[in-house]
Amino acid sequence: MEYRIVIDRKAPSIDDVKNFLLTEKSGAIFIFNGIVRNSNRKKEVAYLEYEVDEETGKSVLKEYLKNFESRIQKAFIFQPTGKLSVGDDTLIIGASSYSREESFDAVRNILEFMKHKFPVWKKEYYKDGENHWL
Amino acid sequence: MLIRVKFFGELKEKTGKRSVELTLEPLKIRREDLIRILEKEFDIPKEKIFNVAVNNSLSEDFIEDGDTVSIHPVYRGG
Repeated sequence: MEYRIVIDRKAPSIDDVKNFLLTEKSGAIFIFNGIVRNSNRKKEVAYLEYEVDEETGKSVLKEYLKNFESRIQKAFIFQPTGKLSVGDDTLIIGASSYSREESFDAVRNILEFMKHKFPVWKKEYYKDGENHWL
Repeated sequence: MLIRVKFFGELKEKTGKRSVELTLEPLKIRREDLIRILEKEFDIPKEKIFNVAVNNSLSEDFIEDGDTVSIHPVYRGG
């Protein structure tokens, strides 16, 4: 299985992600695209900041992706870092597989792994001037 | 033993440091023991649940002499 992990300020285009994931053996590609929404904790969100422990992040993801070695063809993970505005892309996770179940399952599981295990800190800044580490 | 603890995000902000070196009496400690030590040493939020990465891995049970550790929140919503 081939994979690409991108930790960057600028998100790739969904077309670029799809082009990376596509193989001649692929019958399905599933892509999750998270977005910065305009409210959280009953407050209006102005913007977010992410700080990532890149070294640990790439290491733990590489280890986790071994779980999908024989089930998917390719995987793509984008984790943003730095400042993001409402409407910006956050996490992008994609997988390609022979049929739909494998890539759907892989993306869902990688997403849960990212939410619970990936080493990232997120700070929300609100329109009322307050901020909060999540 | 001597370990290095890297801080990111809220912990970097609260401690004012990117990393610290800690000299500890035991030869090895569990991840949760390190959190208790850091809670006493620094003003880190007690209500949060943390993952502790040891030498860039989440699968090590113990922290030993010479290890580098980083600490991150378990869940960030969304």
